[in-house]
Amino acid sequence: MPPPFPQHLLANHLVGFLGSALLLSSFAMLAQRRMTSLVRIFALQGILLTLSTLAVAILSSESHLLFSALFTLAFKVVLLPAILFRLLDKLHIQGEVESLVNVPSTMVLGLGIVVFSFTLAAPISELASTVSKGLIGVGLASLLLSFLMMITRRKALTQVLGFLGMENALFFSAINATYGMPMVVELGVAFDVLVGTFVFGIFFFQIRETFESLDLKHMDTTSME
Amino acid sequence: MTLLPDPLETSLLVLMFWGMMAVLGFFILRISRTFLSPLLFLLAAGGVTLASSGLSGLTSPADLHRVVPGGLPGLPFHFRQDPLSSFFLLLLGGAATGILIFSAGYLRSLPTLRIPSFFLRTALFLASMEGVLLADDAYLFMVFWETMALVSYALVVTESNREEVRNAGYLYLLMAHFGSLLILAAFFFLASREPPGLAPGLSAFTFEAMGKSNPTGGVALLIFVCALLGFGAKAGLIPLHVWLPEAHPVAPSPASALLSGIMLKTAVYGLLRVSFGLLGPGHLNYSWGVPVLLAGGFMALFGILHALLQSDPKKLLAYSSIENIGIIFLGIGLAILYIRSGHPVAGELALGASLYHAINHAFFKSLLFLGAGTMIHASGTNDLNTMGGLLRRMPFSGVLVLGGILCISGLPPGNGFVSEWLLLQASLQAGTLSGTLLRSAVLLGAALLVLASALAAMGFVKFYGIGYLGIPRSEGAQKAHEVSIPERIGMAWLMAGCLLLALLPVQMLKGIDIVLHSLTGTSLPTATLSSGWLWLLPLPPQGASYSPALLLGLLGLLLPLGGFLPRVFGRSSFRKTPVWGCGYEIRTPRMQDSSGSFGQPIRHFFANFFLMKRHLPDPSEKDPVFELTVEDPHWAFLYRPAFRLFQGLAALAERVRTGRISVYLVYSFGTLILLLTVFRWM
Repeated sequence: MPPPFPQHLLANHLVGFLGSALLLSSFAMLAQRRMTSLVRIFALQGILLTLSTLAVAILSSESHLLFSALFTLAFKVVLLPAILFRLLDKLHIQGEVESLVNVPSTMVLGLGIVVFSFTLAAPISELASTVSKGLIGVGLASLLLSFLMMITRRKALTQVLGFLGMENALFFSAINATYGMPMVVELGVAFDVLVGTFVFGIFFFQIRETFESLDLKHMDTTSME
Repeated sequence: MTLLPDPLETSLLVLMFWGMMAVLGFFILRISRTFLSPLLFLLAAGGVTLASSGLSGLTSPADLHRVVPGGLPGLPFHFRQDPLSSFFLLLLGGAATGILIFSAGYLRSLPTLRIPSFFLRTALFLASMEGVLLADDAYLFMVFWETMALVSYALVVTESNREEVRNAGYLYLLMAHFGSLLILAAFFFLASREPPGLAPGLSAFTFEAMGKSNPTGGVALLIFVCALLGFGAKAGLIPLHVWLPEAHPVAPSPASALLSGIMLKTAVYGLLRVSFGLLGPGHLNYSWGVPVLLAGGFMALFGILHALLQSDPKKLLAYSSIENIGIIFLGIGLAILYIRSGHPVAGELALGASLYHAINHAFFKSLLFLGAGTMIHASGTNDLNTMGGLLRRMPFSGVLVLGGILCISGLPPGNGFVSEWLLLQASLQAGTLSGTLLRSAVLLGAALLVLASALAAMGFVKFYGIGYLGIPRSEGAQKAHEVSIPERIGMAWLMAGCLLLALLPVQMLKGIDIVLHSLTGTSLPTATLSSGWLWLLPLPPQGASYSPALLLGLLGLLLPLGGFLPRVFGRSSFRKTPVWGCGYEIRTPRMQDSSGSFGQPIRHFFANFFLMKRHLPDPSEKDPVFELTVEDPHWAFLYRPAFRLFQGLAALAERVRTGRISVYLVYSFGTLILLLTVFRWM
């Protein structure tokens, strides 16, 4: 059992602050119109995730969370944004994010989702015994927001970013609900995401060569006709 | 302790023998076809053994069971031969023997038939039917039941290069699945209540445990309905009958005979097993008898009316099977009604008459299907309108078919008369029932029964008159020739069975009484069983009586007399002259009564039972053609709307699949939100 909640008001506030910053970054990703900035926000999200993992690690004195924080830093702040920037460069993508639903409507939808998530998470937070249990709702909200981004954006790259955002949110929720998953699982997921990104990268080249575009509508031919 | 195996051991040996012969025979026949007849005779020997096993199970009422390792963990195979099984084993063995002997001659005359696989299917089919009758747990029963369904499907689609055959097979398979599902549901409801004193788990699926399940009224009704519809789908219960007239005729004739003569009876067996055996008569309600009774009566009338309009002899026989199964169902309904309203004697009589009719039908319907096979083979077509005059060319088989026709038409002294008469006697006990509605339902059933059997006689006059009498309507019929020796022996075997059933009703009822006693615990009146072989007294002492042997003797005396009298009082000599042509100068075979003209009055009087599309040519038409198609109304009013509904639903479901990735993601998103909502607030 983890130690009882320490009355560390400052640290507690810090975790809360980082959580809200993460939620804000999810909204930022949803609102962002430029592709390069999107990757930058993703990197920023990685930094926030690292910090909050660190904070939870210190608060709960769970040492394996320190490693998690290290991995997060390595993968989500350095490696993945680097790969994504390279992709943007190679594919000559600078332009705007094209959306299926316009940004203001998406934001309104996002607000609804946040309210939904918090209502949903309330009883779970009661049950959790971790230091930062109030933040499960935040994790859930970011997850659904990333999902929303996958739905409402048109380009394949934004889908990947949405997917990575979901992974971030899951990680965040896991840390806050149960002090993270076992190390092996975390490592495995991290590598999966990395490999996934590589595969996506290769696909993008293939897709662009085939369709001369990265628009998803060219891939919309799974039906029989 | 005797060295002879007991009936169950004998039956199990036959089961193994048939199963092994199926595989062995397949490989032997692939090497050489010359062994076909010996192999079929071996199978037939198995049939005789099985019949004798069934017979000894009926004469010495022993309840034999045996557990064989195998099956599911915790549920080994249970086999059991009680009087009900024995009775149907007798039916199976007796009818199959004749069909197999016939096949030895018939299959050789089919050049295109793939003999090895047909042999494999036939033997497996027989083995699986026997397994159904012997199984004593739900799992084993379903294994054999489904094997039977699959193998019979394979028999139906023997000539799978024809599209209509494939369609019929598909329809049959569909219905078989529907039925199996309902049967499975019936077993499930029976097993869902843990019987006291038995370990929980799979052992609840043995028939013994199910017999003790003691379901409540509503559950019992559910079980009964599931069993009725499930087994009804196999037996051709209206409106689940549509596959029957399609599937039975397209199989080669011996296979049709097996399907119609025997397989339909396994469905009757299943219904009796579940309703009287597992559920127990104590859980039946008398009011359930009424719908069964009326459905049976309607089936009988509907079946025979459609049979009357067919010009394909095998299709005619298939529809007549619906009629006969209807009669059997009528008896079952009557039995439930009588037994549960406190009139056991009449109830036993009705149930006994049903069983009697089941075995009768097995023999004469097999005989007639084989006969139809010889007709079709001899004339080269399957249209009655191109046959005619076959009796002159095929006297031996023609006479046997005539015998079968007299039996199926319910004419005394045939065996069909005995069972229908017994059923009628049971119906006429309606006066003892309380309640006008019940009484009139029973009497309506009786009226339907009588109407159906009269129409059956008309239908078979058509079958025989158009097919065998008159002058040939085609070159094929002209060149028809008598069938081979094994075919004659096979048909004669079945005819002999009919004769035995016709002449020894009391002996037969003694056997049936043992079945009835094991099912319901009560017996037929002792006076009926001990009245000697000559006179049959179903409801002693004041009821009607019947003596088939005396009647036959009387007919035997009168018929020669009928031939003799004209010689005495009429002209002294016979002479052969051309048939009087009503003054017409030209007479062609086409001027004879045809299949269509025979059915025309029926079509006219009972127009509501048919869906007719008539095209009367306009006087101004250059090429006037009269066209008439008659269809089973169930297609237009039930199946096609159901099919359209299904298609519409499928098209609606198809709209979900847009092919857009974003939309698919929305589905995932929506599902996630929905599940979370359910998780949170439900």
